[in-house]
Amino acid sequence: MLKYYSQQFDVQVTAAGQTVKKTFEVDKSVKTIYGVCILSNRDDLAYYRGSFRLEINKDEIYAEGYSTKKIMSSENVEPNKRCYFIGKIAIANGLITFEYTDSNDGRTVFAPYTVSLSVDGERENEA
Amino acid sequence: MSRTRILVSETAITKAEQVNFFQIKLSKHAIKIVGIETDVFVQSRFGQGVVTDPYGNGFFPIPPQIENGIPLPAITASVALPPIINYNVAGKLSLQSMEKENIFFSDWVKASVFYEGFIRPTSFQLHVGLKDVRGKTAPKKVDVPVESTIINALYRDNIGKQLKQDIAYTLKVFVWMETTEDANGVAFEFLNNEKETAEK
Repeated sequence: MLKYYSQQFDVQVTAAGQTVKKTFEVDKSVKTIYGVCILSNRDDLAYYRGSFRLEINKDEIYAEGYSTKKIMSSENVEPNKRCYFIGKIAIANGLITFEYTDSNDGRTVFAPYTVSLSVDGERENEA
Repeated sequence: MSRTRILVSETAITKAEQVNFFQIKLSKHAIKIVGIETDVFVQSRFGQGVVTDPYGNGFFPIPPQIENGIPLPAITASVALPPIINYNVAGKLSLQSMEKENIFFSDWVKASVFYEGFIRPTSFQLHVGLKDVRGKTAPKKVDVPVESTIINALYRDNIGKQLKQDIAYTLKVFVWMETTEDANGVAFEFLNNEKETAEK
């Protein structure tokens, strides 16, 4: 039986205009990924300045340049519905590649911040 | 089931009232356009010269009013402040298919505001209490079969016109298109009906 799985993967943005690319490996017990959303310790910076590209199993889910704000949810969304459903994707090689790009935006002043990719999925019940 | 992919198209706007006519080239595997989303990345200091903070010092504190050396009673913000202008409609975008659907999308493009509708987002009070107005976004659904791989786009700037200054920004158009590839599990939320989504 599969049980609920959720994990956050962090990237640090330390300079304005920076692109950070990281590949994360999920645990072998994880079988599917079905939801993603972006969180940050500076919601406002991620919202105005962020765009990203996301690959799961080397399959592009969100294309380069897609706005971060489009998959951010606010706190008035029920916690279990904050992630955006992307279909049940079987995790074959367990690799998630997240490429985040910070762009200058006249409505914000840059400060270093952390962006988290949050993924929801299913894992094998080891018990 | 067909796989949906996202195409990102960017165009630069630099002048007030600028009209941009551009084309978006779709993937050769595209068979149908299923959704459209837009976004704006602003390079200019947004709203520069606009009265949003008349005293330039934060949360509308009003300087003490002194007449003949005697402080006058406190003035409330509603009478002391000049009208607040807070535009966020960047412009209008129309998309035209080469086929019989012709203009299949026409909408105002908003320069989304993190604290939608609130003017002083830096204030701690607003940050704590009112940050939660955004909810969740989704592309606007369309249903346009694709025969040729080009769609025409017409964009007309509004924000520069309203503010009477050149605002430089990048307009992004996200075209969600169904392709001939197999889905392999990928099925985006907005493509499902509401019941299915709620169950997740």
